[in-house]
Amino acid sequence: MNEITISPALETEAEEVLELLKSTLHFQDYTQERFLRNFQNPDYLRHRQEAGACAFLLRDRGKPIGFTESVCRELWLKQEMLLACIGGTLYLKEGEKEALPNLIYTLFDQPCYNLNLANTANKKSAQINKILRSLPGPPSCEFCRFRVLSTHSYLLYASGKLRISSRIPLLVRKWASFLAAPLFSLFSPFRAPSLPPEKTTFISRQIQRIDPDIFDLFWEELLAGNQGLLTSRRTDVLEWTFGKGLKTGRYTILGRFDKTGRLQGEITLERRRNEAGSLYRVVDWIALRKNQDVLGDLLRDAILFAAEKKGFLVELVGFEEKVQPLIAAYLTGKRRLSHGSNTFFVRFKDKQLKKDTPRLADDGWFYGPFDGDSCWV
Amino acid sequence: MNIEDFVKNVADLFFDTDPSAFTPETKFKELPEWSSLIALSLVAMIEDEYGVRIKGDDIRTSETLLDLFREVQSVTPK
Repeated sequence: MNEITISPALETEAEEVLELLKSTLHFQDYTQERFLRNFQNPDYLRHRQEAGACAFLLRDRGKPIGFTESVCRELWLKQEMLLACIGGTLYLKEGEKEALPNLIYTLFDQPCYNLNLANTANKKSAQINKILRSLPGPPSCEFCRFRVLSTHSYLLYASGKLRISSRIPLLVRKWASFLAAPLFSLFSPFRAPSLPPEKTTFISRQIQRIDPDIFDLFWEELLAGNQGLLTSRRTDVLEWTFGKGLKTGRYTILGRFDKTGRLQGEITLERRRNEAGSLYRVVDWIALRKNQDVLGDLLRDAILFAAEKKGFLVELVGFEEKVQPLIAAYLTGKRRLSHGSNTFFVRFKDKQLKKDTPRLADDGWFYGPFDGDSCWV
Repeated sequence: MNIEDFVKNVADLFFDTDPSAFTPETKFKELPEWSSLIALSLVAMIEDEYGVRIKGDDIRTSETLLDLFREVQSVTPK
């Protein structure tokens, strides 16, 4: 008789899951609210749940020993809908080595998923994806493009990240950053050239909520022109992903509108606060017909917005090679990501689907953080 | 499908363990390098090479490579 069982996690198992995850330092930030989001997928996914679960609990003789969860993403291959599984939390109790395949494959094998996506957060998940023969994303995913808005704050932020300096007391690092900033400001990437001028006459506006009047039409037009893979920006998906964060200020959406009020493109920023201040990360960036002028203006808007809010850094990962020179004109700094983190992986379950799908680095997919898991909680 | 090839395929999953340490009688889970990632690699390798998906329980109940090989044989379509 099997002693190990794996079953879809239930809402009523929140406490057990939390107790399991909190037994390790790595998941101290995991909240009940986050667990419950597994059961609050957008409406479009509810009917698909009959064919698959989003989270699984692994038990040994009834006692929880492992947990995994995923985020569903709706993708469109031209005009055909696909469902992707994006790996989320994965935890296995020490000593339960043989159970890892159970956790991973049970999740990936859910019949509702056509493909698996990953935006690796650490070295181990990168290893897992390589073992699973996942395809890496475009080379742009291995780098972070950034623009420093405050040298002093950036130095403080960087000193907290580096192992060698992170143990120095904050006050000392603050003073050192303050004193060193004038010297560093003379050099790249701190001394960034001025922003390129506006290229369109489209009107720039902050979007305060996910308004169907704005996004329904935008999505219809995006989908109609889709020749490759496109992650759904339907109103309910955007609401599920960004709705709450828009209210709290965690997310900011900036749009460019034509004279009739139709959205031409949007950029979504995530604010991350730390000891140095606010860092703004681009988590979505898209324009109709991939219009590079609109995309450029959106980056400009994002940088000006972050500067106005006293943010010290704007950063972005990913997107196709063709658009990299455009990004470099605005986000002049570039650094390699450790462990190849933020490298996107994709694994198709169906061989024919894999054959039919444009290669990630090709023109078919405007591949950015929204396609991975970087903005799901 | 033979045991020699199977043992060699398993040995290839280990980076630091000397290939000579692998025989049909090897208690693979007792090797110092055995890890959850190698367990996952083992399942992926068996799926690629033999076209079958074994479960974590199959690995759990197998003591030696020969046990595991028999497990794979038993689920491989004839």
